[in-house]
Amino acid sequence: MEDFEYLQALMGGEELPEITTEYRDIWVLTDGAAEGLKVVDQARTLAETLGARVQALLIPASSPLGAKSPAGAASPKGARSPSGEEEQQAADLIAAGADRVHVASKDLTGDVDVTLATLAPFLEEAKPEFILSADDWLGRELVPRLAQRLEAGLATRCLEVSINASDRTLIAVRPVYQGEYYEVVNFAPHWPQMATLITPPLSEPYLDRYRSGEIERFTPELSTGSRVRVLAEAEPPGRPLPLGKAPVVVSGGAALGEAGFGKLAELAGRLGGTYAGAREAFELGWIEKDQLVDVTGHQIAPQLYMAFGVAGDMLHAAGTKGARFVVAVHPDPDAPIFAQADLGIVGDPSEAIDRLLAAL
Amino acid sequence: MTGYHSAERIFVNREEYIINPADLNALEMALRVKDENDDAQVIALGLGPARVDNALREALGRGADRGMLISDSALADLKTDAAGAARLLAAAVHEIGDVNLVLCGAVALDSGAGELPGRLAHALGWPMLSEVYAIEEITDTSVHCAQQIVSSEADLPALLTVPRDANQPRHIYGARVVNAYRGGEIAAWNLDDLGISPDDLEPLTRVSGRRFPPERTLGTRLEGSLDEAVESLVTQLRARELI
Repeated sequence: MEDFEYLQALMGGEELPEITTEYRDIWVLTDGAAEGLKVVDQARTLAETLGARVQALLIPASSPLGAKSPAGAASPKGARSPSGEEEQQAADLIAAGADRVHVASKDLTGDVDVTLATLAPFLEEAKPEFILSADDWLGRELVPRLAQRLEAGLATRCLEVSINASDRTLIAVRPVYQGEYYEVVNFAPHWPQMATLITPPLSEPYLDRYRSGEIERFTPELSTGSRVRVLAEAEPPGRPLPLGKAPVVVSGGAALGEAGFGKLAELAGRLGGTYAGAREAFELGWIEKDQLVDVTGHQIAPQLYMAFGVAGDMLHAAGTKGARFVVAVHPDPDAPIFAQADLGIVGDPSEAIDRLLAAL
Repeated sequence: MTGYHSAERIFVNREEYIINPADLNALEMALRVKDENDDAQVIALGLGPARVDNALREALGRGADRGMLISDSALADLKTDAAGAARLLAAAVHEIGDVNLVLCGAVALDSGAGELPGRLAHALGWPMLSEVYAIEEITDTSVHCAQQIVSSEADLPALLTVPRDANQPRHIYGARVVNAYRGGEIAAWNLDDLGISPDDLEPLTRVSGRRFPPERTLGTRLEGSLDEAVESLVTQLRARELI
C-alpha cells in the first residue's frame, strides 16, 4: 500500500481538474519584509500542486499605523528603501520560490486608500487565481478592502492553506476563540480566492540563490485624492503596549524577590513585550492592578509567557491558559507552575533573568 | 459564548450571547462624541437573527439614541459571509442617511477575523482609520484620531475601528434599559427594505468543519546547571521563533 502511495506521489498524485476560468497563478502581496518570504514558500508548495506559477507583488509602502516591532527587533522604517534594497528584496523573493516579482515603482507611503486604488486595477487585469499575504499590516489593512473590491472570498489569519483537489478551491485552517480550536474554511468556486497567513509558526524558507525568476518594474498610475493623513508620530512608547496585545509577557512572583522584579522591565523590552505580575507581586505592592495577570486581573493570550518565581495557583493558571507557549522558572521543583509550563527550569529566577539578558 | 472541547467533539456553548467586547468599546467612543456634541446622534446597527435585538437594547441602555436591526429569514439559510455582511451594512448606513462616522470593533471575539471593517469601508467608499484609541477632535469635514503609535486625520464620512482595550465602556443605566424593553425603538429591516436580493449575498466562504489544535506536552524540565538550562531555553525559543 505504501509503495502504491509512493508511486502515486511520484507520478503527480491526484490529477487536478483543468482550469476553466481565466484566473491564473498564485500572487503574494508583500512589503518586502521577511514575512513575505515565508508566504512565498507556502505559495510555492500550492503552486506545485496546481501547476501554477508564483508571482509576488512587492509594494513599496509602510504601515499607516507607524513602525512597530512585533518580535522586539526594531526595524527602522519611515525612510523608504532606495531601489537597491528593493532589488535585494526581489532577489530574496525569487530565491524563496517566486517565479516573477512585480515591483511597484511608486512610493505609496501608508495611505491604504491610495495603495488600493493604485494597485487594484493592476490585479484586476492580472486576474490571479489565489492571492496570499502575511497577517501583517498589509494583510490587515489592505487585504480586506482589496477582497471587497475584487469580490473575492477571504480567510484571514490562517495557519495553513491547501487546495481542494476536486475543484481547485482553497481550504484554509484558522484558529478561533484565541486558538481554542481551529475552523476549516472552504471557498465557493469563485475566483480570485484570498487568504492571509499567520507567519510566526511557519518554517524559515530555504533561499535557493540559483533559482531564476523575472523581476518586472511597473509604474502604476498613482491615484490621487488622499483622504487620510498621518499627523504625528508619537515617540514610542507613546502608549505602553497593553497586556492583552503584547506578543510576549514576562511576569514575576514572590520567589523572584523585589530586586529581581526590577529586571523584568528590561527583559520585556528586549523581547518586545511587556511585563506583569502574579497576585503575590500585587499583594507585595510591586505592581499596579492593571499589571496583574490572574483570573481576577488580566487574562492574557500572548505567543510567549515567561513566569519567574510565580508559584502558579489555580487563579493564575486560569488567567494565562490562553498563552501559546509558557516558560517557568521557580526554585521549588514542586511548584504547580511547572505543570502549566511547556518548558521549566528549577533554579533561582533572578539569576535566570541575568543569564537570559546576557544571552539575548 | 465560550468554547471548550472534550476528547471527541468540539462543543460551543451557545447559551448566552454577548455583545462583542470590542464593539462595546466602539459604542463607548461614539457615546463620548455625543457627550461633547449635543446634536450628535448615536445609532446602534445590528445584523443577524432576532436575538441581536437584545444587544441593540443593551446599547440603548448604555446611551445610544436609536437601534436598527437587519434581520431576514433568508440570511440564516444563506450563511452570509463577511462580503455579504459588508454589503448589507453599507446599504443600511446609506438608508439611515446623513451618517458621518461608522465605528466598528476592530476584531470579533469569536472568529478573531478582523475582516469586516475593511470590507465595509470599501463597500461604503469611505476612508478608514484602524485601531483608533481615542477621537481627539471632530470638525465638519474631518476627524482627528489617536492610534497606538501615530495620530491621523481622515475626511468625513469615515470608518474607524476600535480595539478592545481602547476605553472603559460605561455602565448600563437601569432606567434606560427598562425603557429600551418597554418602547419599540428598534427598527427592523429585511432584505427588501434595503433593496438587496439574496442572490447578491451568495457566500464566498463557508466554515465546513472544526479541528483540534495539536496537543501540548506540558511539564518538560530543562536539566543541568542554570547556565546550561538558560542556554537550552534560548535555543528552543529561537527555534520556535518566539524570541
